[in-house]
Amino acid sequence: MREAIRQDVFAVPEANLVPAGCWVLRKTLPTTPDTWLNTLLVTGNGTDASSSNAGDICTIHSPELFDSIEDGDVGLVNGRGSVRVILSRRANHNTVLVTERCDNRCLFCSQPPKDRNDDELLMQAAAAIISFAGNDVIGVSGGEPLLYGDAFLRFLEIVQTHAPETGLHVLSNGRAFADRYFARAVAERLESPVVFGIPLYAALAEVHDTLVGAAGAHADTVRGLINAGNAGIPIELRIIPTQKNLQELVPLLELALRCFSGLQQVSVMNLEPTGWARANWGQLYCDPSLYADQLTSMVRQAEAAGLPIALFNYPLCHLPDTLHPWAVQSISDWKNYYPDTCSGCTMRPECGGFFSSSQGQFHQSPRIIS
Amino acid sequence: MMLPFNLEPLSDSRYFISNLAGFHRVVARETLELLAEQGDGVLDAGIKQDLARGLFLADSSAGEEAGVAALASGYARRLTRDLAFRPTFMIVPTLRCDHTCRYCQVSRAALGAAHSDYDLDARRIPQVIDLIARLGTAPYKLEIQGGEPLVRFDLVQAIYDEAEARLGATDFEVVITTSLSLLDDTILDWARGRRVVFSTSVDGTEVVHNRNRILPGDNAYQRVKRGIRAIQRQLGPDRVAAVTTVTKDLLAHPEALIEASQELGLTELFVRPVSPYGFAQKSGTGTYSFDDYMAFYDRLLSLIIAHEAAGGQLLSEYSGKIHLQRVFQPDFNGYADLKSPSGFLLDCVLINYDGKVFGSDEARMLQRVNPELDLSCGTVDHFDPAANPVYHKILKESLNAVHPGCEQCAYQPFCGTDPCQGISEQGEPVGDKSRSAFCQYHKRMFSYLIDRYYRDPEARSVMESWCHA
Repeated sequence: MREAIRQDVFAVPEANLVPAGCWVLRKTLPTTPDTWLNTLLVTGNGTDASSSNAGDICTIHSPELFDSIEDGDVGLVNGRGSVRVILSRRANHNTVLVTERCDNRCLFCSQPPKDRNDDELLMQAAAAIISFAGNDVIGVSGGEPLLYGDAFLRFLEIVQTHAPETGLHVLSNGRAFADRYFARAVAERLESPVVFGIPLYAALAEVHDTLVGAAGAHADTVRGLINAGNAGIPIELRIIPTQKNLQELVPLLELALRCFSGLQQVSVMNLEPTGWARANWGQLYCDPSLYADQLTSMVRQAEAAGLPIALFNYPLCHLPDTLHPWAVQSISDWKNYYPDTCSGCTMRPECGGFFSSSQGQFHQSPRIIS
Repeated sequence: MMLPFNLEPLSDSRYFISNLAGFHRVVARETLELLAEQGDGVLDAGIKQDLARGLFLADSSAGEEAGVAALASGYARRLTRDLAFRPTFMIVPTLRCDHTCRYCQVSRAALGAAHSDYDLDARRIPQVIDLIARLGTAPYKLEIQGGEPLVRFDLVQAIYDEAEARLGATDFEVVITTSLSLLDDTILDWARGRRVVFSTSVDGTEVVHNRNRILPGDNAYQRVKRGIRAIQRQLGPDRVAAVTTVTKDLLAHPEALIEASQELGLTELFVRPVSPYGFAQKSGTGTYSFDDYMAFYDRLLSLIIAHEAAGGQLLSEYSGKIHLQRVFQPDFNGYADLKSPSGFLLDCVLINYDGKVFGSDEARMLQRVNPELDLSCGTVDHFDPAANPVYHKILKESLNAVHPGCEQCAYQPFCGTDPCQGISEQGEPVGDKSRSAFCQYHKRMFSYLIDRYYRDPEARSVMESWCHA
């Protein structure tokens, strides 16, 4: 891995004595204990570490971690000597993982699914979000969060009741919304701003089903998008161009514009070389120059219909100048970097840069912007 | 398996097909025959995929269910969008006019007629703007109609001042529909710093224009030319637009229109056949067939293409543009005629000089010709469309998907209805589409434009520039 903009994992040998799980990270001892998470006091150089291990409070000494967090950030301790800061006040974007189970098997899955029961993650995530009590949007990711069904409804209720200032962005394949009663049940529980990011990769069922490795997924997701939109659920439609769906991009946008309601934004996302995408890179990754015309047409159609469209994860030098206004700096800071060649580039402040996993055969070099 | 769609023949044995969600394709006759006789299994894989992407075919029963849901959702989206109440507020400060045009589209009164009979009472203006503020939302669109509104420039000013005070200085725009014959420096100076644009009429070159647009004792064409030039020079090129009513005199000479637009520095044309309202029907000037009109339009488009190919500036044509946008641009419904339900009342609230309010410009013209009917939706101090059963009937019956003749038409998702034209021609809003001028005109326009778009790459590129400008 290249060095990312923000480090999120810290080796703290003495953390192997701390029980695994989510902890609220404190730099000073709180006067009142946290209701939702146990407190882990982090000490740095010059801090008084004497007040150790009182009640539910554990203490670890790590100047490095101490300097990287704000009071009240949330950390995940793995019980093997490392702390991962999962909700950080310094991060450009925070995400919680609520399950690793999924009913799709996407060829480019960045978080390959596991079939074991991990139900404890959902309420742990709720506690983390509530304890963190931020004002920004927190990503809720999986796996497929909606596999929880009714338990997910309770998750929404609890989080919105106890962290009303926190918005949620839920990444889902939308298949569960094919049940329109479930879509309505979710819609009825939306109070704070909640957006569902739902990917659809093709207008043609066979292409989508191949990419997501599940027969019937397209029919479910299409009906899910219709039901969710009609129920009033705000949706971000996500599209990942690959070699297998280039012919689909423009028809897919037309399908979205004509048939789906509730769309807040269309996000076209460059493939991330993580998880299964690495194994399938050769048959999936497509140089953006090969579909710049399709992107231009999509941008034009979406703009004409007044639907915001954004290009995610594209270094500016991989796009024609005419598309730069739609490219956004989208890569989370913990996995974002700029190769050395970018240091002299005048566009760098506006550029989203590269994934830190982008290297070797997975790396497409920066180019001269003519 | 097939999902439901409609079809219409184009030239050279191709067909235009469309479905309820507004997808369309142009396919060969043999493809449709194969599909009808042997099913989609025998189709070429590429054609089959292309049709499936547009929800014309589904590959499985789950796909069929999703496809039907998507078609229904697409149709619901179109209905919801076209149902939105976003009216342009038209105000008629006076019915008096200095022109005596042969086909006058709007009812008019003589310049010397009594002010009290044909002019808006200035004391009513606060009520007019009050009604607009209550019914509309920013940005408000106001259109000052006539007669010739500049006959009462004082009322135009008063309307603007009241709008500025009540609606917010930057929350509205005023279009003044005028022959420009009365435009002078006072009016230009007034318009300079204000949110005002002028919409005028140019019917061709001087000879053609003056044959129809009669300004007693003066030269209508020279007047409009002087007016357009003055606005372009003093206020900017975006502050004036012109529409062309195609008369029999222009029909044989589309080049006259290109010439006139060159002479007047106009890059956007907006041509329309003579409307069946007002005095046009009676005078006999408008009598030509829609075949003649389409032959004219065909030549006009070829002239536009040739003009551009010869290095001239691209001229766009607004009627063609809106028909194309309805087909190609999923959310486009910016033209009151091409909507279903119709734009009647939803797109227009017209406040007449006498304080009566109408759901469209056509309705007040129809009212003039049929004084025994009440086609108003109340008055400026008592707006109440629900009180007039005609309004309920017109709106209820303005969905073309259930009109006989429209329900199987492939242009139906893009077309609309004009209930007032139906009433005018056939005595009721739906009418027999085989005798409907609205149907003949719009169906021919769609068919002509689509056919040429998919057959003629040069024409296609010109049409695309119209839509993307």
